Amino acid sequence: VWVVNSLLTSQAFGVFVASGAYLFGAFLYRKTRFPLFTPILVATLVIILFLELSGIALSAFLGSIQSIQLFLGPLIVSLAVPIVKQIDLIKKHILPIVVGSIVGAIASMGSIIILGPLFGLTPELVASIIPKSATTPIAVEVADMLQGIRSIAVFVVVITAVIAAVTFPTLFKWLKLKDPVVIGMTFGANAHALGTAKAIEIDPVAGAISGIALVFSGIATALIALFL
Amino acid sequence: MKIIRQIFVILFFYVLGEGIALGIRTLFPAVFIPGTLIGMGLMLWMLISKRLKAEHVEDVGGFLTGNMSFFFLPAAISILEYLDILRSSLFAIIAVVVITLYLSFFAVAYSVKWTIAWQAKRGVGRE
Repeated sequence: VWVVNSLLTSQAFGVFVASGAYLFGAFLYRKTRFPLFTPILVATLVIILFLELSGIALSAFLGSIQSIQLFLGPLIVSLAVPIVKQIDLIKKHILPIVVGSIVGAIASMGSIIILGPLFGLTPELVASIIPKSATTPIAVEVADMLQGIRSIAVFVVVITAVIAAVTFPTLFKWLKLKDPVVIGMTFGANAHALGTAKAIEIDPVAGAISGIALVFSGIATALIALFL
Repeated sequence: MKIIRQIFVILFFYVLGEGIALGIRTLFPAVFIPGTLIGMGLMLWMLISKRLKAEHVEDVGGFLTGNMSFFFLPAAISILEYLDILRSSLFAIIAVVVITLYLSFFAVAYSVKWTIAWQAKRGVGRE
């Protein structure tokens, strides 16, 4: 029994389960293209189910996948790579990109600061929701900085992106917004990576702009948060 | 070798950024700038100025940024520890998220649209 336990709580087994659950989520998303089946959401549910069935304690499992978190910092540093690949597109649209990122970050964060307490949310929860429009690595860091809860921040970031990916395409049609720069900026500044995946489906330029917007609005969110 | 070198370069900028952030925090305790963003800024500057070639970071960098959400599984699963808070405030959280999302949708969509129109009027930003 001890041998089995040491395997089940080992790093290798934890990362094995996590990557398997994530692959399953990615497969489901690729087959259906339905935003609710975004890999992180599916993987989280699969793992929660797995923990329930196997009886492995949450704390033990979290311990066994700790090594994944090692990459969070280097991941933010790596955001320089997609930027540099799109440098020509950025130079061409620099003003709309900067304006959209800053306006989006201020609108999103400001409205949460005002509305959060009105809806009876505790300061801790407001702090966790403030970075909801930022890309997850930056959102987690901002939530930390404002003394929010990291996992609530991740939850909020993911549901924000899912709602945006499901409803934004229809809104664009209703409002007759067709410019790929407008579509890309709106997706990237509100719905980060998942929004970018949706933007690519609408128009490749919108997808590229969205990928840029995700980084710029993440930076804008982090910089504005410095003054909160 | 290639991958190890890329990991080394990215970690170099990460450690450098965190080091600078630590220095800033020691000198000015009131200022908190995330070291990761400083690291990203420095790497971006080196890449743009061609002192660092994209091929020295793009495989590992592309892997990390292309599969971003995988690295948040630990944080996402930890949500189980906060189920009580979540259950009691779920409606308020969703309401705030939805309202502020659409406010921000309009803010971004129209600020970008008007900026583009303004640029077109001034004759800049055209192909």
